[in-house]
Amino acid sequence: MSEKPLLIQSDRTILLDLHQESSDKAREDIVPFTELIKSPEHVHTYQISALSIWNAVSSGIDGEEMIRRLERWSRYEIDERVTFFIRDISSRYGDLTLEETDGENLILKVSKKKFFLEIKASKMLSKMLVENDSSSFILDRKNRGNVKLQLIKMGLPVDDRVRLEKGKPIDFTLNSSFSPRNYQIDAVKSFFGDGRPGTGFGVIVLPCGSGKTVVGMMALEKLKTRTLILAPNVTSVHQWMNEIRNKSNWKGEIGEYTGEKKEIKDITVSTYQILTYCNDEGEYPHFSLLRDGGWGFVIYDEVHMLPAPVFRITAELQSMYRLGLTATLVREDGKEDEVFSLVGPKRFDTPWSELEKRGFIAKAWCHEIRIPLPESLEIEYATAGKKEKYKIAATNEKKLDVVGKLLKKHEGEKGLIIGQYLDQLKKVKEKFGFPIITGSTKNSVRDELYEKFRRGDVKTLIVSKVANYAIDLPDASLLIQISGTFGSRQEEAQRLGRILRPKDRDSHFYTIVTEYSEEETYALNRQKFLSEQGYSYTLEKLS
Amino acid sequence: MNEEIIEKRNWIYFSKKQPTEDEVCAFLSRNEEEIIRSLEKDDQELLSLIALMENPEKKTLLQKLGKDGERRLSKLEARCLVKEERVGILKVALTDASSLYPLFGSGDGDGRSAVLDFPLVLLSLVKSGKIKKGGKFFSSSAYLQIFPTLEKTRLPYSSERALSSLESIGVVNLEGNVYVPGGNFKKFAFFHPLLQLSYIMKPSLDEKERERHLKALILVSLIKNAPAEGMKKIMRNITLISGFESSDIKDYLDYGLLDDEGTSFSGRALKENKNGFTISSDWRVLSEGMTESAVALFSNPIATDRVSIWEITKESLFSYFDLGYGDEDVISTLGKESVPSALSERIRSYYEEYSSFSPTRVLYLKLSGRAERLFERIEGIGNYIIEKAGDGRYIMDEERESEWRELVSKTLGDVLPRTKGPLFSTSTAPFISNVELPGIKALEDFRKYPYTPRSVSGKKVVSSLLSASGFLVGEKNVDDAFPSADGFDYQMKMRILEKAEKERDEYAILIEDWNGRNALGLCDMLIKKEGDDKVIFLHKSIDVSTIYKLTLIPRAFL
Repeated sequence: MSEKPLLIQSDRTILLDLHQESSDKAREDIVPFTELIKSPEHVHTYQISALSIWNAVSSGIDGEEMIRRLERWSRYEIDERVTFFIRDISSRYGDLTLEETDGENLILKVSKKKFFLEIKASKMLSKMLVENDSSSFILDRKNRGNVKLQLIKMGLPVDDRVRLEKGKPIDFTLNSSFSPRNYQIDAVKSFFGDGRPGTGFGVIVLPCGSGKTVVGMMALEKLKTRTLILAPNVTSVHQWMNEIRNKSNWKGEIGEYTGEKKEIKDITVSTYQILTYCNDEGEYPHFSLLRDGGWGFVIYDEVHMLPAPVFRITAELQSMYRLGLTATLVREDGKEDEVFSLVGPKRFDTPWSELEKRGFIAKAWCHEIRIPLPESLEIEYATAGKKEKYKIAATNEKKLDVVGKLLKKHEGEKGLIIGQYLDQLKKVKEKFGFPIITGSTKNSVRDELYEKFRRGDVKTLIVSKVANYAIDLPDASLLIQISGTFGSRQEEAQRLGRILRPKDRDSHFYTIVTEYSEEETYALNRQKFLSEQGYSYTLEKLS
Repeated sequence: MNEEIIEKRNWIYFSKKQPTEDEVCAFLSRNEEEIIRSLEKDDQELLSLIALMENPEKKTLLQKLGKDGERRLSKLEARCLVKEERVGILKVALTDASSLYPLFGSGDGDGRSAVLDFPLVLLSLVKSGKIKKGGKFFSSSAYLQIFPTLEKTRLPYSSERALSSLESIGVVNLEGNVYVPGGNFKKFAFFHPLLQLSYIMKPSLDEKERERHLKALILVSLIKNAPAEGMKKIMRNITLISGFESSDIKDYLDYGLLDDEGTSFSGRALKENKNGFTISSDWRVLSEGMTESAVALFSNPIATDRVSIWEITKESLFSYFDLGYGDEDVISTLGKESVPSALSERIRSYYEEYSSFSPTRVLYLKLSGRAERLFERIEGIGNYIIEKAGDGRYIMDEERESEWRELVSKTLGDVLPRTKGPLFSTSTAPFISNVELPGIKALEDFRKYPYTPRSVSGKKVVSSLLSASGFLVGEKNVDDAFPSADGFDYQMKMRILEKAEKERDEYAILIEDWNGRNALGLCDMLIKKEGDDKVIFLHKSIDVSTIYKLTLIPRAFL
């Protein structure tokens, strides 16, 4: 007999049992006020946090409704601590409101005396707030983001009633032949909510290859305002520009603001790198692009890569519509919360396995091939320092033989060989003769090689970590990872993402690891994020 | 109940002033259901308490019940529900009178509690060598997160006390300042969690006392939604039933057998793991209900709650292999079919790695493969090799084991197997016996008549009728002395009506409808067709569902 699908722990972790008939309905009910933590094959984990509750309250779901939904699907009676937390936290929303006052300033109204005193006593906030009367503070408009961030850290959510401002209107529509997928429509809907204050900024999390760019363009079509798109590298800047040209009716020019060109148009695409360029005086001269560009909408592509200086300026841009896009909101520095606070909360997230099941991303098989270290290197390895040990294991020359075997096995498939160490990549090039793209390859050459790959003139590319992110190679179905950046979970997931565009065949992701070595330990950590998404690595030993 | 009534009742029920015991038994057994249902809350509780007590000594009972005890007990005795079986020892005359509730709270909210995993978590951590004596591990956030439902201020203290108990019975040993498995570790790990807890709380009880303590623990685990102000009484009940002095709830809170839910207390669930466990590709094992001991031994605890979460790591597997288990033990525990192949392949590969390096506590070091090739090249290892005993065989310095281990781990990897040998496996440990959990009657037999709490009715319909007819003197309430049913229990009403019709010569019946109207008459005036939900009484048709209260009164009372 089917049981209720939710198992609610007292620490507010919610486990969703996928083997129950009603699991889909339960998921729909809890998604607005929980965060998806991980989604392996049997049980998905969600978490209720103060932030997730406040986001739900701001979009019209009150605490009692959240409890009703949990009760509807909970297998067991809910611990009082959970219901108390929901009631307590949700009741705080609305105690603090941020509203318009005169032109330059905003007013923070505090309805409860104890919160007023708490705020007044905060050293961090006293720099940004001026006491107005016994229940309000005045703040400079540019401090809006930072004040909100500090208050959230103190457990005091702000009902921000200051409307977002649209920039100069532009006439942007998508091609009529283009039909978005349901989850893309849902993602955009979640982003805009009911259009009231408190919506129109946030992060959408979708797997690699599932069409995040399209989601960005759909939001742009709805806003029709002057827009700045920030991307991780020049190649992805060019991809955005191509996508906009191919999928929309945009007749105007698209500005490219990178190290190579400095054009500013109504739609401009730039890189994080140029924005965070710091001159000898310690200034960021290109910040003015963001600050003074008259933008109504900023899209942060691969928002998990948002560099620290951009955090700062993003805090000043709270009056703009802001959309963060990512597949892996995992930061090795643990600053996910700051991304949520400044760009906006997570508005939409969907398990990778769901989209794979529905054919929106390719079915991918992950393999770990384990090989021994050559005996001749064992002494060198054993006596080396930790970092050096990793490099010796990662650049194990036996990996080249495995690459050969895998290419033979997948003959005819378009593939990438990706690695961390340039010497190692050059050896692969020497052995197999495929073209190579690294950090020193000119952007024009990169674009040309990627284009040849897309056309099928080149079947295999050797790439360094420059191809980790945002490179769209629709037909690639084979990826061989010969080395990586230590234990980076995000890099592993992003690399898999290069072969997830749906196609008529399954994709294969191989990672070659030297057994009994530092590399093996790191590999396990790298695989964590994907394991949590339900991918499992088959293990194969080669001598 | 006054003497006059008892006398009249005896005469009416049994046609004599002093009925024989057989006659009383027959009467009670014929009317058992009605009698139990007619009991007030306090009577139900006392009757259950006596029924559940192992040796219901009247003196002990009266001592514990306090000043009100005498009156309560004589009330039950007067109704022949309790009698002295032999001198000073009480016996409940009804066969089905025991009910756990209201003895242990309201009984509501079953399934709210987290499961009892405290002992297993402790064993799992010891096995992984994670606990240092005097270290700060227990106050670390990682440890406290494992027990989200336990009180954070109690936990570090109770964990330390638990380890000292376990050390005293040879379940753990101190090696240097690190707790490691002792001679009794494996045996203890497979005890029932309550028995484990019993040893942790009271390490040195004899077998009889252990059984009583276990009984007390079982009863504490059965507490459900008990209001804080009622806990003193509940603990008194537990002492009386188990025979183990259990007045203080602190110990049970310390070790997580009892949950403080704010305004009420509930015992920790001892739920069997009915759905087995789920093992996913993220190496997490989810157990809904009590965790199987083996799982706790080859994985690390992440959280214990309604669902306990454990994580398998290379380190946790190595420490499991240290106990003498192998890769196939892990895979078969998890269930061959349900383990993702990636996971089983990696478990096998770890075991292969583990087996490639095999130190022994006698400090006879045996190496193979890569370890053998590298060992002698480790800088400084020569200072610790006493003798080379052949290819890959070394006799090592015993006293400086920790020093050469550090050298080896720098070269061959951070995780090395623990040293095995006589000290580890045959260290003298006191005998600990696997005591079976004692039976408790109310747990084993499902109660035929569900407990329905009754409070004294504000209306004294029967009493006033009896007063009017001269049977009752003064303002006594005897409404509940007769078989009756309340309006919410439809089946019971039907049964009483059927009984009234069958035994129409013996009884009168009092029907009170939901508008407060009473109808009293001999059962001759009652017509009830089988299966019909209407009765004809005193020439009127009454819908059974509208009956608020129904009482059967022996004719002679009227």
